[in-house]
Amino acid sequence: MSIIKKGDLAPVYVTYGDMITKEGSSFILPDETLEGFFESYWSYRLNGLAEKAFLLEVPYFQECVRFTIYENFINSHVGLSGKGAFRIEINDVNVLNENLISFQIGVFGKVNKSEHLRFYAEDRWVKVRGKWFHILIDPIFFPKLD
Amino acid sequence: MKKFVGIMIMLLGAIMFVAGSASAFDMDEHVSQAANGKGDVVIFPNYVAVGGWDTKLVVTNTSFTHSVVAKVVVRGAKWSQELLDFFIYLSPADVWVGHLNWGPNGPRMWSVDGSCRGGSRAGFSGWASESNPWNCTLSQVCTDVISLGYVEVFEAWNGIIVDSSGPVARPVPKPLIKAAYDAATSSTDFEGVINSLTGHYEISFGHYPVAGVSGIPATSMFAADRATVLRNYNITDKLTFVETFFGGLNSRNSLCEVEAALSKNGLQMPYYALENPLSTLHLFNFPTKLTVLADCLFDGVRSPYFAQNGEYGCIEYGAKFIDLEENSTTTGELPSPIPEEEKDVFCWELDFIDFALAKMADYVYDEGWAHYQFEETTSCLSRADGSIGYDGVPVIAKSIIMKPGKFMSIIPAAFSDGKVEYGAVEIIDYQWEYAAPGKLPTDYQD
Repeated sequence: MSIIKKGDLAPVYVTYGDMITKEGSSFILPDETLEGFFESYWSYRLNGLAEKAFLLEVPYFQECVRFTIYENFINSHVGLSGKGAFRIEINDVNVLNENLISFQIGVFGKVNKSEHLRFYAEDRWVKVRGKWFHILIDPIFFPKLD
Repeated sequence: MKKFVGIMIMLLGAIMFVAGSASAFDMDEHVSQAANGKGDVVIFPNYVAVGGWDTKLVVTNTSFTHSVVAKVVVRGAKWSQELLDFFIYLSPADVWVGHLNWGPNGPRMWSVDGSCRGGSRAGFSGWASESNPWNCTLSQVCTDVISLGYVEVFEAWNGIIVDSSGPVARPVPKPLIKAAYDAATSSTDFEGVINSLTGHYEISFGHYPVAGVSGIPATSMFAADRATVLRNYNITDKLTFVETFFGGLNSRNSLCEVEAALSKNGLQMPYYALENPLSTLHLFNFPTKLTVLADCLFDGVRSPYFAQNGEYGCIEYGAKFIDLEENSTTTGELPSPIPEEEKDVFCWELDFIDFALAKMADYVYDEGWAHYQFEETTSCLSRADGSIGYDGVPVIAKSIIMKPGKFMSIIPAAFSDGKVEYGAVEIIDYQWEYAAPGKLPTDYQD
């Protein structure tokens, strides 16, 4: 478990779900640099830091999408933790190739000591020229950009 | 005209008798769109089951006398493949509620409603309940998109459940309805429809929407819309877990007749784009296209319209985007044939025009309205082998207007009905149930 942000931002914790436990071994990402990008992205996104999160979206997405729409989209998550904390549970990993990885995640918000599941999602990442970028999957706000 | 089916429940068995009969089918009784919102087929033209989104489906049996068994079919957005099917058992005045959203293993159907049981792919037994929630992951069929799609609900059977003292009081126990349906075998058991189904759906975003979570974040978005309802499609044979699709041989209407009932040759919808803080998504559902795959490759379509007018399942349309002061980037109306620069294609069964994109400045404005034009004509056969010709496209179109995180609304498209001919005779208002001038069909009235 790693703590991403402290201070004014709601902290975001990343944990690994049952899949890892069943296999009896710790999960190892195929590229250790991905973990940092993953943690940073979700911290920015869940805390409403749209400009920073936008720069971690895949380049073609940055070219295609109106930032105001993206900013509103990011802000729609703010408040889910009730000013507590977030936890992202990685339940499954699908390594499509060394440059394309898909996670099944659950996003939890912590209010006081009580934790609530907020949503499940597929979370996809692609490596472009040595840097990992997030592939945002939302066919209503951003159709056919995944 | 409508049949009346009585069910005598004796011990745990069921004896069925039939009184009355269905009238002969003619063009006055073909499938049509239900202007009153009640019918025997409910189409939810779009569902969203992506992370953070939830689509709540609601099917209501508006009859206070008849129980209804209906089959629910979930289809994918790209190839319309069947992802899930199951039956719901509705007592008089009953409602079924189900959710499509992204679960821990991907897109799923989730329900605690006691009207449903597990289906052929459900991996679930017994009746759903709060203590036995139905949590069924949708099947991934080839490369179909399953986090988006549409849902059909077919009235499979209706009847009045009675015991020795008369009709069983509401709520009629679901096992009795299922027993009656299971016992129905002859074609007379499936004659006639009562057109008592209606439905609506709710799309929400921003929070986990189902039981077990308290509180709704202030930033969540929500919109509701009535489903598209067809009347007198009329299933004539028992539906099973064999795939059910429009125009199958177990109905009194061919796929051609359904397409003609949905045909439209023009659509008009508002849009917000570019510098406008609102965003818009135009949705186009083609529920009759029904792509056929062979070894997961495109192998044709069931749809007469797409077979005659499409190419590899794609159809062309013309589009003109107008601002609030009658301006457009091209002058005049869309001429016929549609010029190449104003032509594009739809290839998915649930397709989109997205106004959130930044690079639309060449042809849209901050706010305005869009006109979509379809010019094709189709010739095909009714169930009775009568010749039908119609123009336009069989489509259900919606506009989703939103300010992400703040506001969302669903607006049905304005449209022009396609012209329909039966034989050589033009049928006025084919898309809407025929009635003599000044008179509503009888079951429009209480």
